Amino acid sequence: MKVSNSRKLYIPIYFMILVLVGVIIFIKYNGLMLNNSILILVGLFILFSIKFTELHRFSNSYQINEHSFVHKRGIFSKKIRNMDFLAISSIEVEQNFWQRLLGYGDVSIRLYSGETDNLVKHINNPAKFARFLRERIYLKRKEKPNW
Amino acid sequence: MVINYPEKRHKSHKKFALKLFIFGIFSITLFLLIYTSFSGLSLTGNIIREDYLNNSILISADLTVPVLSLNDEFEKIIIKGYSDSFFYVGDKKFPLSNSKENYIVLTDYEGEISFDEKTLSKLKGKAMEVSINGIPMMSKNNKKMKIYFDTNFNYHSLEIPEKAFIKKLNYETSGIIILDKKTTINLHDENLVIEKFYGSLKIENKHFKIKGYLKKLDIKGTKKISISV
Repeated sequence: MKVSNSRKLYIPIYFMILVLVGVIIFIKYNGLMLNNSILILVGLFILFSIKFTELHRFSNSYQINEHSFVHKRGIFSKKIRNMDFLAISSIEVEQNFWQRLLGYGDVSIRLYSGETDNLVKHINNPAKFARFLRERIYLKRKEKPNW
Repeated sequence: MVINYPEKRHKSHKKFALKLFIFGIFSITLFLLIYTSFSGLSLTGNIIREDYLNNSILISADLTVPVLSLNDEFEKIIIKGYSDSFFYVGDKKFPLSNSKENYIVLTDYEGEISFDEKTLSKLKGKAMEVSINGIPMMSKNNKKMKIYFDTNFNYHSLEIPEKAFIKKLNYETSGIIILDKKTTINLHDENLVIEKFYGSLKIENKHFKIKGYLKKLDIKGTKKISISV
């Protein structure tokens, strides 16, 4: 299972784009003057916003493989964190009101070493992700009963 | 016991600054978009006018008619001529075949205008007010009316009394150019390049008359002249 940041995180930016496009349509529809320089500025804002959100989205990826949980961070410089299932002590799902309403949230993973990290941030359906991780940990522990 | 969270605090500051930056850019863009459209202020127009008053070459010329296409905002366009077809204004159409000398005035026009020596090959845009043979038509609710010709329009005269902007004009021509009211240049089938002209324009009896300011002028032919500011 591999997940990235949810696009729902960028709703405020998409809303800004929508407002700008809406104002342009309104201006065009009403036959008002539309300045070319401003139109280029709007185009650049939209282009960079979409580019930025997509880059930010792909800068974090979370993967559950057979033996561990892997967090990859960065685009140009990469940081990969590997956490063995047997090192994980507990998993918490965190969602505030808006996140719950929109169906995304964070999954906090605690290690036996006492280290806590809000590792999995802004993913779609965090409960499903946490359940899948729990099942994998359970299976792994079953394989190693003497652990 | 001392607890420090330097990295987290630094990260949240950075995030807040980034959010503020994006929102700032959005607000400025939205403000400019609304301000320029609703106040009728033309940013480029004002910039052009101020810049041209400070630093430019005064030109007055009477030349042969070029093939030219303009896409801009014009305060007024006056056209005289005829066509076998119609002139469309908003949801109405006006026959132009009844008269050989139709008189059309476009006020606060925004759009394309393309012409050669004889015909207006394209006139497509929006205007606040249109007058056809003395019959005025005003826009409703401050909305500009869509206007266009469906076929070529044979014009006798075409005039843009002020604020016509020609980014670049490059063609072989004959005629007279007067620079800064003192230097006269006679052209005989020579290549003329005009860059960033701003002023009035009139085409009548196969004469292309311009009066205004420009940034660069190049003549290549029997004489070689290059002036730029």
